[in-house]
Amino acid sequence: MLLLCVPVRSGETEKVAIDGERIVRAGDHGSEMYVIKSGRVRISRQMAGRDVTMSELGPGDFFGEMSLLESLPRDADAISVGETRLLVLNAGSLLVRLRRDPTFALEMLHRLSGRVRALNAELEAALDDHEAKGSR
Amino acid sequence: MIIDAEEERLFVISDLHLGNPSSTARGRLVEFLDYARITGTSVCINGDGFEMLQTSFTRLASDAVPVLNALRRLMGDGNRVYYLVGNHDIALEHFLEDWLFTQIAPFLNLRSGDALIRIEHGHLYDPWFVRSPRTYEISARAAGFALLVHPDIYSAYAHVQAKAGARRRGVPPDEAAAAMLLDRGFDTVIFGHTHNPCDVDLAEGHYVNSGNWLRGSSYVEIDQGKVELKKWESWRT
Repeated sequence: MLLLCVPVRSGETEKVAIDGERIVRAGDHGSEMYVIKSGRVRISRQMAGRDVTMSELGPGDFFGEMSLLESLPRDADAISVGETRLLVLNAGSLLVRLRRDPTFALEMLHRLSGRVRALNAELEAALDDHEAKGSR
Repeated sequence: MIIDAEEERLFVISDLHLGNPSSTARGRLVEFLDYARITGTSVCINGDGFEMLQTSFTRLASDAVPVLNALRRLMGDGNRVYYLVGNHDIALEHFLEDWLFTQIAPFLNLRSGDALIRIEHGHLYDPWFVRSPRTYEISARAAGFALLVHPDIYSAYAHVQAKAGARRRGVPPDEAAAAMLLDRGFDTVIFGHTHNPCDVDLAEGHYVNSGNWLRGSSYVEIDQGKVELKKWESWRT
């Protein structure tokens, strides 16, 4: 349960999540992204029946943008670690934010580019591993 | 392009306008950069370090050489120099990386101690610049002549502009922009651009303006996340 949801500016809202609260759930449809104002959020996925932590995010980081940008279900769970204050953006307020705060777009591109690079490296490592096993 | 950095100690200076005929920064700046080197502190030039809109090339050449040498000495001792691009030096962006042998960034998200600090020149939130960058550039070139009459005229103009903005919107444009960034989880926002140093506690967090070195000598000291606005006094006296 999200404790608070107050309007901030230009359609943006602020939410406070309590410790252990699931802010987004993998598979759910969502049209909002979140920017962490304070506190920490654990991003995790269910893999082979296990809950695997993908990353832990802190102030200034954001999550949930993939569902917002692509209108597809959530890819992972996001769970509050301690009390967390979040800025909540939907499509309209994201567009206003980008108009007024253009550096946010650059930060999003920078983070997404970093994730693509990391995934490419993981894919390459997995392929090398697979080939090494095949040659044995 | 880098936008993230970690530093426990960092000095932030802005609006040096080296090459502007009205700039008196050179001597003080070389001394300040040597002070940073001796105290082992990295430096961030937060925009408008070099002047392209109101430049005298003779002046740019005579100002740039001792400052670039001081920056090289600073980096030679293992300190880092960050150069953030402002509105008076956009045209130099390609050259700066070669001259300074350092990374050029549009803004910095700095982690220091437990704090997350945004350092940015701030021209993107100046309504006059955003409305028409080309008109702003032409006006800035023309205003170069006014600076010859009185070098502090831009500070006065920025001050009046902030007051007018505050009358229209209830808050000066730079403070409104700082509040918007603070809403994204930053503990402190540091801008330059207005030439007017200030240290304000907003409802959303801490806003500091690093002022200018065209005539002034204000700087921001970041130490383990603590952010303080200071005025440089010669350390040799």
